[in-house]
Amino acid sequence: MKKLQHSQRFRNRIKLCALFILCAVSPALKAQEEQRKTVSTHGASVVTKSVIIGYAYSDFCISPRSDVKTNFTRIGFSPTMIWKLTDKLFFESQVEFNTDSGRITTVVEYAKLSYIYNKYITIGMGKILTPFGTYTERFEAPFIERLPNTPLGFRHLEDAPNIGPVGSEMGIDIRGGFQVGDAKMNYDLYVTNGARLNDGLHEPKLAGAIEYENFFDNNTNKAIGCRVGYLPFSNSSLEIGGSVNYSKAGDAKSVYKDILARAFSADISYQKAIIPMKTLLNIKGQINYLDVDKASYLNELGTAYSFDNTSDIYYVRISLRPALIKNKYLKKVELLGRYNSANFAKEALWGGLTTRTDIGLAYWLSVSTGLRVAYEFTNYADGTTGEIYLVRFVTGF
Amino acid sequence: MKTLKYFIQTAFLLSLILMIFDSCKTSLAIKEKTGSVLWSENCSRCHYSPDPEEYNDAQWDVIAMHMRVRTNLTQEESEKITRFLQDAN
Ligand code: HEC
Repeated sequence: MKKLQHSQRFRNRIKLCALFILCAVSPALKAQEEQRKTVSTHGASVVTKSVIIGYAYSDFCISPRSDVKTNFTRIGFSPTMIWKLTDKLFFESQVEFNTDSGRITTVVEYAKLSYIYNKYITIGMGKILTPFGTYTERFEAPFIERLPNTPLGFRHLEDAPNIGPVGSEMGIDIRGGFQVGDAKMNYDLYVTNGARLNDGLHEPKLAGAIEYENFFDNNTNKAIGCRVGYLPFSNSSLEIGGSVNYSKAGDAKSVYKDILARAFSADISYQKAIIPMKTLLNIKGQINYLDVDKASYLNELGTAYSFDNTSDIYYVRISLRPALIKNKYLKKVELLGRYNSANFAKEALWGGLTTRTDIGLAYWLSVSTGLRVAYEFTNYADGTTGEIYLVRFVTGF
Repeated sequence: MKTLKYFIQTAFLLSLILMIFDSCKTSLAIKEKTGSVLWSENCSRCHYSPDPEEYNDAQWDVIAMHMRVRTNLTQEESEKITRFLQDAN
């Protein structure tokens, strides 16, 4: 009950914040429009210090096997304010309004104040996109993600286990990039509220699952994590990264208080113009692995059980776009394939292996606006299968 | 569906091998690169990059700071790219 009241209060607070930001944003939008027209002199940063950016999208779905065969499922709108306060101080915040699962949801995706301490060190604090792997921080924004869906397990959903941090968390991070000969490296070190273990008392089916969007910490322990990225080639075409995240996950004073969640991730990003084929090749991939200490939980009948609590999720996505050819229609088409796997702890009540294959096509109207269609085929853990056609119209502004 | 899965995975592996061979060709050292080269190499790694004309100088100043913080670009790269964007719009 207390938890419910708390989350209600939290939601109200977020709504108030959103309203406040919107009120602040609308005159700024107008001013920005005027500045776009009037400011063009070099170095006019004294005039515009904030920019409103963001994205909006709308989804349509065809499910041949379901009772409701066609559905306008989701719209989302995310105004984002970025603000250069001084040459060293920067603020960014994104509010997302969407109609997830038929409900209107408002969330502060991130709100972070960063201070550029020197060439190599930037310190940020607030609600941050956790730099664990690359998906959340770099590729999840719908105008960047070229398929109309997110990789299996890589989007934060309420009531679903998180295999490593996906989404945003309250905390502090230190980051930077530097050259190593002709290669480059970058790093992110962070401390956040960290993981929360679902002990199954309220939701026996989710016993042992971890959730990372822990906006108000359930224990004194903080998660420590880092990601290191390496770009071996001087043309920056390839980046490989490794991440770790350690966090005690149980509620303070409970029997689970010492349960540790260790998450690891590896990611890859590669893009290249294949000149003979007049085509752009783009590859992205990430694997997350989560190992949670073994513990005893109660099932729905009140019987104690325990299981080996390790899970992994991964995706690989490949896309080809003949952007260098002359045909003005074909050059806007991008073909995409993605394979997704979510292998949840086998003996958990939420466990099992689900895999999904996505085949898609994007038609780009500009660098950040386009139509996306995809066919997704899923093999569920219980042996059943599902297929859906998805359509998304999206713009970044 | 299995074939499709193997197709995506094989394509991924093949591309990995290709990329190693391909990227081993020497390109200019980062220090010698112009802002425009750094822009074309870095700014479309995650998304297709907007043209310089899409924003004015002042807006590029703010966006460049956003991208530097978000993507961990080095200070030198970020400064060269910002100058290029502001000169080319
Ligand atoms: C490592 C990934 C990555 C790289 C490299 C990158 N961007 Fe971005 N960019 C993003 C993400 C993620 C967003 C969306 C931010 C959001 O909505 O939270 C974005 C958004 C933008 C936007 C929309 C406005 C804004 O500031 O959000 C512009 C313009 C932009 N990037 C330009 C650039 C330029 C110029 C470069 C090269 C200096 C660059 N980007 C390099 C990831 C990247």
